Amino acid sequence: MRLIDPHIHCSARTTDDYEAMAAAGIVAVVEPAFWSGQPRSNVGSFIDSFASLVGWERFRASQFGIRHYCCMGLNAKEANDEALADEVLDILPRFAAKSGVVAIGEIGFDEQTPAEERAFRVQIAMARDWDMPIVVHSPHRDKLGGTLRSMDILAEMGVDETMVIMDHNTEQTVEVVLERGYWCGFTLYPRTKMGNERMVAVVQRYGSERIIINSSADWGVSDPLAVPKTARLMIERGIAQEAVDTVCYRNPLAALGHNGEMREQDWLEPEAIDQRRLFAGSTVLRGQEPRVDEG
Amino acid sequence: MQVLRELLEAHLADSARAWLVEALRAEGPERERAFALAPRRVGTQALAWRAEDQLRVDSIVPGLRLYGLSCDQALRMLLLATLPEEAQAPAALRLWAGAENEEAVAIVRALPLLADAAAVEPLARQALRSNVVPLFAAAAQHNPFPERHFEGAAWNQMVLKALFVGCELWRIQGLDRRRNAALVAMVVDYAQERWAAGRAVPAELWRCALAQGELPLAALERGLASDDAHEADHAALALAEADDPAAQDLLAARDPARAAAIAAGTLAWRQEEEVCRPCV
Repeated sequence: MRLIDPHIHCSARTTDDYEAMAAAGIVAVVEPAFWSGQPRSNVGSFIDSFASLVGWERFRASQFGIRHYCCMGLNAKEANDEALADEVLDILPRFAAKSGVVAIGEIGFDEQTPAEERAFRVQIAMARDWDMPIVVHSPHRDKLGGTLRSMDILAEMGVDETMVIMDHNTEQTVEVVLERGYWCGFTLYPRTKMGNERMVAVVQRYGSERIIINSSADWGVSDPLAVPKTARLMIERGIAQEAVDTVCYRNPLAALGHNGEMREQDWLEPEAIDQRRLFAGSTVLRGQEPRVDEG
Repeated sequence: MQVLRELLEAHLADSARAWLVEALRAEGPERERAFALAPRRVGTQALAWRAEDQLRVDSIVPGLRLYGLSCDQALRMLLLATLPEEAQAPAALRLWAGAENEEAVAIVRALPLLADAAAVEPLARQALRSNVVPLFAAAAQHNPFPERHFEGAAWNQMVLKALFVGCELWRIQGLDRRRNAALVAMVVDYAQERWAAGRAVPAELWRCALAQGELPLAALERGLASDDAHEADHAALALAEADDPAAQDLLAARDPARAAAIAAGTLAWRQEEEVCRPCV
């Protein structure tokens, strides 16, 4: 079974995780820009973390046979530092254009402040103008209200629903999100939000259309194998393989493959796709080759 | 670098060519976005070129190679090289901050084209500190910048690290011209460390184990006796080239077959210039 984890903060994970993810069938990951657990104090910190998402982290994933893509954006929490937020919004255009960037995200609401709404709107406009998908983080507190408010703003700004993943849904929000035509993402945390069993029940009830699951694994208590574990549980519970493939592979690819950066050929025909990897012949490391130990 | 532009344009459909014209005219943030978007607009396929194209390039920037260039790299190099001279280094430094790996590779490949070498030399040094092998390789291999601009210690670190990360040394321009005593000592130390650990010695190491007045004869003798034929070839070639009759006597006595092959020209160092022929 080939799987995609369309929302995971790999930079916070270990190489053991990458090995386990590859062994469990994960072929590609998408890492949204995120906060660091504490607020950043200057725009240089954003530049470096954005650069790492398209640079070192991408390379690191490739060493374990996993294709890494990312989303660029200013997260809701840090949007509240308005002076810094302006500086970050100024550098976003050049980072959003880089190779490996598939969407703007994760953006949206945390406390639902005016500053958050301003940054959300600016970034929605950017994504709309550049024809990029958007990954929307729905708030932990007042989830339903924040989800509805996010969707209202997106609709008001004329964003095509099929270009948006509304993420971190629960049983409480799934119906309104599906009704309005958005991709409906579920985050499988070990103890909070959706558990694996609850997720199976959601797919049994609502089917596989426009449903996406992810781990959102980060530096907190989380499970980088949430997608493969849930996929296997769905099969055990009698959900058709076809539906599992749709939820865990085809939907994230359809939702985030829009600009052509994330393509199935990237992992199905890894060597044919990139002539540059032939540069200098055998000296170029690929994921499927052994690591070179230094020293 | 008109030749680079012509080679690139030959790959492009009309719409992409029109975009290219605009991109090369753009300034400031718009030019930076064009730099980022290059792979999506002109593609990542290998640039097609003929031997005479390489000759034209060499006549403008000696040592600059078309080998292994992709269309997006060629465009990114053009975006830097076609700026006014005084704007080139600041643009390269700015784009370097936040560059992803492919962008960084293109910047490093463009360095020989830029006017102010001293200002961009730190970028080449940073690329060689990287653990991203393609980025390291772009700076070390088939690039005339290090031979022309690196002082001795930086040069030696580059060669030694190439051995560590498994980048072929013959692809380094000036490898034989920049031999030096300090490098001989470093590679012999490295060989001894590998022997002590019971590990194989990288064959090409022996190509650096000679310099004016420096010949680690005992180490080369051990290299010549290696079970790895490739390693023995390299030790033999070093002995044959050494400026000391004792080396040639040793080679003739221990390995007459390799001595004869070298005399006949059937065993020789690989030369960096061989990539100037297309389709290598």
